[in-house]
Amino acid sequence: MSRRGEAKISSELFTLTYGSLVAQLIKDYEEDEEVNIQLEKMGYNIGTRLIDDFLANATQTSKCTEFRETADVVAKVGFKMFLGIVPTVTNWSEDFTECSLILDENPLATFVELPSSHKDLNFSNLLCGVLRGALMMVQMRTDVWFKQDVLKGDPITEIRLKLHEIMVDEAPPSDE
Amino acid sequence: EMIFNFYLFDRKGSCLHFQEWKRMARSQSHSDDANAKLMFGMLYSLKDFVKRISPVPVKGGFHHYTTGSYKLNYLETLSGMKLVLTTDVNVGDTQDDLRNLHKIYVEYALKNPCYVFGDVITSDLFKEKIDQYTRGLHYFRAK
Repeated sequence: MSRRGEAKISSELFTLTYGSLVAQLIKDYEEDEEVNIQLEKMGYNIGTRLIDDFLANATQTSKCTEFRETADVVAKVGFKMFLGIVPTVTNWSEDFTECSLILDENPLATFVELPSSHKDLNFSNLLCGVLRGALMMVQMRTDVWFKQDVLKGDPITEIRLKLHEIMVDEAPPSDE
Repeated sequence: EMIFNFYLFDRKGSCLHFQEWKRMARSQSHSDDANAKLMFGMLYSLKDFVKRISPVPVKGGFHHYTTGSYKLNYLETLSGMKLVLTTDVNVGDTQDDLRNLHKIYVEYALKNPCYVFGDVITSDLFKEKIDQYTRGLHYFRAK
């Protein structure tokens, strides 16, 4: 079965659409922290759906045996499939529950220059939500946050991933 | 050869979709809703059983079981979506067909922004696509 609407849209249109979304949120919520929260929430809702699209189209169908493998799949298959970039997975914690994704380029922020009045804004915070939502659906409870962002003057863009637990299925409710 | 029915469950056990093409016996419990609950409970228990009893590390869970009168074909995605297609006993491997039914769910239910995640799917287009795909399977041929 072929995918519907495989036709590409202009990446500029995508980038500008995301930009106006963030701009509108800034108008609506004013505080940078609040905008960060809203972007994360939106991303989470996207991620919980996107995971099935990912699973339906990725060739890898077997379960990852450890978080290291998961992070690799996220970077090499997930980011590639939806954003066309492949971040580097690095900076692992000793127990392999925390790592960083280094983004050499960020398609969401191509035209963005953050004014100094918004130094607390995580412009691409949607990505953190998407990752958290998608991983939640495969039973991994994580925290995801921007540790560094070139938009804020940092030398690199770094998303940090932390695995808290791998959840188990709840038993169906009994009739009694 | 033929196909009897199709169930789609989410991880929590909500039946998002049920469609029936043929029924040749009256089941013990009368409502579709009660049957869906029974089905999900059975899938959960069977999955657990398969895991417990397995002499080798479990990878994909179970794919089907066959009784004297019907075959139950099963696919569970890593996201916990459960797809069930009950067919005639002579039907072969259906994993790829179940994967395609999952794709239809992604394209015609999940990607619709008006669809509330976890709700029963009411989209006619979705039902039509499921129906079309299932009828197109070479082992459909219901009389």
